[in-house]
Amino acid sequence: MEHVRDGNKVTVSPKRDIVSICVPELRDKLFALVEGGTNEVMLDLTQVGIIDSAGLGLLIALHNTLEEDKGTLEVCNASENLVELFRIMRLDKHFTVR
Amino acid sequence: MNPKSRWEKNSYTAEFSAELEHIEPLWKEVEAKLVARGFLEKKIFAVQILIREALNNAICHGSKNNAEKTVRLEISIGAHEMFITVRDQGPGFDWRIHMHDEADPLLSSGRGVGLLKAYALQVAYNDRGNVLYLTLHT
Repeated sequence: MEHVRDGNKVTVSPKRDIVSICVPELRDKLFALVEGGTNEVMLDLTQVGIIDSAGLGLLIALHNTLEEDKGTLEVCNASENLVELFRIMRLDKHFTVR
Repeated sequence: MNPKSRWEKNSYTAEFSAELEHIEPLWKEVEAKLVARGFLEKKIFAVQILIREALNNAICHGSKNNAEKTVRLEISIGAHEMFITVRDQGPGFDWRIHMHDEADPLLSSGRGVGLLKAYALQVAYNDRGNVLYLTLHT
């Protein structure tokens, strides 16, 4: 996972699918960023082909944590399939999906 | 237990120990066949969502990540429909409670059955709840 910081905003670019086996490690990295003072996260999904329910749960947990601190989670460069997945699970109503 | 898997004509079977690490290589075997059969990308995505979800549930919930337990995946591709069956050796669960759930989108858990219902034509369990049957259009 790469991340680029710009003040309080961080763009995070996972290098693989966000699925159950890698969720614990990704969770640790994402929440370390939040604890380090980040409250705006842009998740770049260019290299993410699929997100399973564990991965969706992680994104939701991240969104909820950021929102508590008046922060935001945005998602960019999602494939058509992932945009559809977010829509089906009604997550596009809660964080911006591009 | 190392996975044992094979394609025979239009049927696939795999048996493996209840460990998440087996999902990725098994999915690659399935994906290769779907690509060779000319499945559209959107359909392959739907199949992947279903298989990953079904196996995640069998491993994490059904088998409690116990590597001494076995999970079995069966796939059958027909002219118009695909059938996916996943069996675990766990005690099962009361699936009836969850079949009509509408998951709160902002809960960080509990969306597994919702995902299955969104991408499959039909979702069913055996009485005990340790065998999942999925049907989707090909």
